[in-house]
Amino acid sequence: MNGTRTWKKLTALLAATALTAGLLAGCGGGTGETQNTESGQPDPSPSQSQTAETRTVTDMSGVEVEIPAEVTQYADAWMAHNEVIVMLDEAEGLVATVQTPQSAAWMYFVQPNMYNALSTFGDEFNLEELVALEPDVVFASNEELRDQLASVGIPLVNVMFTNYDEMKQSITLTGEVLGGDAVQMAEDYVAYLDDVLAQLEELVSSLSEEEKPTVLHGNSVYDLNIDGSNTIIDAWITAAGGTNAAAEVEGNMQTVTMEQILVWDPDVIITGTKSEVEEIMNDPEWAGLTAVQNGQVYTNPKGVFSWDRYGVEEALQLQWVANLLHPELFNIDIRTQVKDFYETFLHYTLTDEQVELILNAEAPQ
Amino acid sequence: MDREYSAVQTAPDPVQPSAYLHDYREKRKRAVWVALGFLAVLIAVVCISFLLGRYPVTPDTVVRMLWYKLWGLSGDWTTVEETVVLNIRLPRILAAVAVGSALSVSGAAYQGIFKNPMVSPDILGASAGASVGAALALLLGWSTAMVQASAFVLGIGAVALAYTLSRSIGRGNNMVLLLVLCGMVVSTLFQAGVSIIKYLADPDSTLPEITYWLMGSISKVGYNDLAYFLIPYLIGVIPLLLLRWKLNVLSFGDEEAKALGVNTEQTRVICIVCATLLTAATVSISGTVGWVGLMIPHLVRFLVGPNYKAVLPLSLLGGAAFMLIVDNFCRCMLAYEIPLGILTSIIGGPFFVLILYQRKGEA
Repeated sequence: MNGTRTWKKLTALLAATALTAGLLAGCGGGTGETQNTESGQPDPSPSQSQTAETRTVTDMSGVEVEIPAEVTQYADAWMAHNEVIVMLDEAEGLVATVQTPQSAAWMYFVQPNMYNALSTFGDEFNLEELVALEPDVVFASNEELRDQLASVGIPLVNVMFTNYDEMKQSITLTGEVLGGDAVQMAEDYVAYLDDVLAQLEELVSSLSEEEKPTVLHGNSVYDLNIDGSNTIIDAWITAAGGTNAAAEVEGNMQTVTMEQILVWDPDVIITGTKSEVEEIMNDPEWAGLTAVQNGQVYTNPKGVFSWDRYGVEEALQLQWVANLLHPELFNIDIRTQVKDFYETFLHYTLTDEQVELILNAEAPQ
Repeated sequence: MDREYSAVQTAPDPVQPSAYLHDYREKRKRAVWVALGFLAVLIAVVCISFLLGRYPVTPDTVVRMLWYKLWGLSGDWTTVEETVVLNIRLPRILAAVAVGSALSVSGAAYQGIFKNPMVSPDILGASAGASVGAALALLLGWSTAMVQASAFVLGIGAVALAYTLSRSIGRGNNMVLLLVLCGMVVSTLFQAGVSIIKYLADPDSTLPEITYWLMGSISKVGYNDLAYFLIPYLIGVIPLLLLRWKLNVLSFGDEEAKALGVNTEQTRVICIVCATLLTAATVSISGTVGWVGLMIPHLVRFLVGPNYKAVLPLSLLGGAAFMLIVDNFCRCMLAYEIPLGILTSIIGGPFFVLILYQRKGEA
């Protein structure tokens, strides 16, 4: 649950209700003039963009976007991409985000600069508020805001990715947009990810199809909510030497029937909801599954972002899953890897206890 | 049966009663045949439903399992097969039958109470109230049992609110109209409540849950849920079936009903309470499943005429069979689970139009 955000929204709604009541009460009173006094904002003329130099980048949707030569302030409309920002810029220039301390506890814990950014109301920006914050660019995962933002002189950079090649491209692009040290950091990350993928490729090439366990993954598997093919989840299952048990279903977060799960009979179950491991292990309906009988039911680790979904910790997810599925072939100490990764890429030194919390998908303490 | 007849028999013209009587007997005969037909369809669909599913279990294993289990014997099937048939298919079949019949009966009852064929079970806000209850519970991360309880309580609460409002505004005149208006107001209010909760919900986890719940599904109904459901179900269905002839009397209008010695207000309250219990209990285990409560009573009326003595029990059978057929599509058509509410509309809509076409010119 995300308490603060919920309360913020609720307060706003109450305020709106009060306003309505006020309007109704004042209907006959002719008090219309007082309403305009608070709009003493600065002149709404578009800021420096006309005079300053610009450069052009090609974003993930193939659009050539003209952006200011120097990008110091930006907003991020894609939850997962906020982690890229934490990695490349320590979120220093972030003025507005769709993240909240409740939805990403570790992100705010590891990088307190996140608190300087305005969290949105719901998952969309209030356009006026956004313009008032004067971001140089806005990062997003879709095209919805592009035209609207263009009309107020803010370029939108689409950073969406659905597989590892695109992910590397997207991170390089973000580095390019931010400039300075970010370029090098993006390069380092891409090299790291490449290295992990190369190791895994070698591992997978040595496996026959029978040696690849079937993996069922979902945000809440016990609620019959699973992830199918054409997703980043399918990508890491395959890359780490497994087979997606739910490959015949397409897309993220699909609801299926219990019978269907019994038909798939996965070797390994990974769920995004911690409490479900115990529920699955103890439910007689699930008892017939191979994964349950062998005790192969796990919670997916969750750190700055959920490892299984689109963040930069994908690189850790790959190693964690490969180690889980093929412990004898991919023998690494995942705890050391997590510590090193956080030190190098997320600018934070984790304690041993914190590593355990992340591996168990628990909130920071 | 004899009550209506005796009411008609007092008519002055000696030719008329026998004509009425003839017509009445024809209709009654027809109703019996339709009832037998519905029952046969329902039994057939229940049997077939045991054999349908994504997990392959051979028909003879299913038959053997059910037969052996009935006598408490064990057999040579696997535990997974037993789980599939007894813990997944059986509760789901029971749930579909219960939900379909409850929605149809309460729909038919509401239509009788308000003398309006366009009324559906959510007319007084039961569905909207239950939706708020469930959405709120999901937002607060409560357990499944609490979600159901909260839906049930708020479903009843919404109708109680509508009723109290109408009583306090009205002074005995136009009670039915006022009740419907108050029901609409309460419904709208609670629907706004659902929107607020959806707006507050986390778009990555809670919101999809709420949306999915609102679309309706009986995929997660287990024996425990059914046991709890049985109480309001019986309390709702039995009085309605016993009082169904009074719905006919209500349809004459309040004055005529009073002249016939029926306490209209009391009858109306009893029927509203029962129908509301049914609706709220149904929504609490299955989410909002639209269309059934409106369509099935209509279908029945097309077949046997507007006599509630036949309409109510036939709606019960027809609703059960229809819901079971639709739910079989939900769970078998794709690897995905299709929300029930979507398919009842997609299958129900065209089906309804088809019936309208066939009856063109008749009714």
